Amino acid sequence: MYEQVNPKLDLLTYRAGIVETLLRDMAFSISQTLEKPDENNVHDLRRLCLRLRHAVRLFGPLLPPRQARKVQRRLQVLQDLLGEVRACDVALATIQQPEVASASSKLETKKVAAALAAERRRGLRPLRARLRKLQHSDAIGRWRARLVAG
Amino acid sequence: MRFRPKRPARENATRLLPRLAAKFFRAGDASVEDDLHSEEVHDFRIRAKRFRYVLEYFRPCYGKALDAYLEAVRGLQAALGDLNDCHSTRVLLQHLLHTGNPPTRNQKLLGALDRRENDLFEKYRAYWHETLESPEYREKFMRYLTHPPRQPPKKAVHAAKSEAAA
Repeated sequence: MYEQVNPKLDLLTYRAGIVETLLRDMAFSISQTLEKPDENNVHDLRRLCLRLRHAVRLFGPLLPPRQARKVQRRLQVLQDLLGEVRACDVALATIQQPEVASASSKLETKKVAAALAAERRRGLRPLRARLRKLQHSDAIGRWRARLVAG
Repeated sequence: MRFRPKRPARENATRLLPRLAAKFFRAGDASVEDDLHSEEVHDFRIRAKRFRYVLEYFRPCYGKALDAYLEAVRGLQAALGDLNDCHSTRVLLQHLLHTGNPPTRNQKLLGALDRRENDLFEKYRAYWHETLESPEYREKFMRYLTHPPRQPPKKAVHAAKSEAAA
């Protein structure tokens, strides 16, 4: 993932490379998820969001503190929204595992799956709105300017 | 830990990663000693994830041998992830089934999830004991993190390849 970052660089430049890579992948993942908010795309975007939050925290002392805090807050909101949808996807997959599915009747499992699907649809609405907002406001571009150039 | 921003990334990595690895092993040992619902297991899942992220950030500073260690950490995370998926499903279903319209109590399903969680915890424990518990393995891992082999300059690699081809 970060193969293109040169290890001989000083840490300040190196961390810029890491954050830049994550931001680039995230911009792509946001458009993918908006286009098709399926299980895989939501999962990928959530993983990137977690990674970016972690990178901003780890390299926090090397970043402009106010800007880093701002980005952290935005990422936290996005991660919560992604988490709600992801929880439904995980639950849908888990109840279909043979060890779990065999414990209840097919009809019961179907009912639970329907409830989870409805919950997912509910969670997807605010997530899409947030992603659209991030895309239209060029949030990733601004974060790049704050974190990478900063 | 304080970074040295003007120093090379590799130098910072060899200072940071061994300390994180030591903490990772200590927390892992504590998590397998405890029971399934303890705070330690949850905290350790988060710690393992963060440890892997840091290993990945600094992957270019180490050689290919890091991949084998990364795989071991990924395997651990997969075991902990399955366990967490099961737990979060049970919590979500408990909420969803009780507040649903009409409210239902699918005790069989919840019971199955509970049993599965216990099985997965045992799987995770077994993985820890088999893969990451041995002192020799840990020593090797720590040594590698502290003194990664110098990567040969690209010219040397190129020369060696042409020599081999000839």
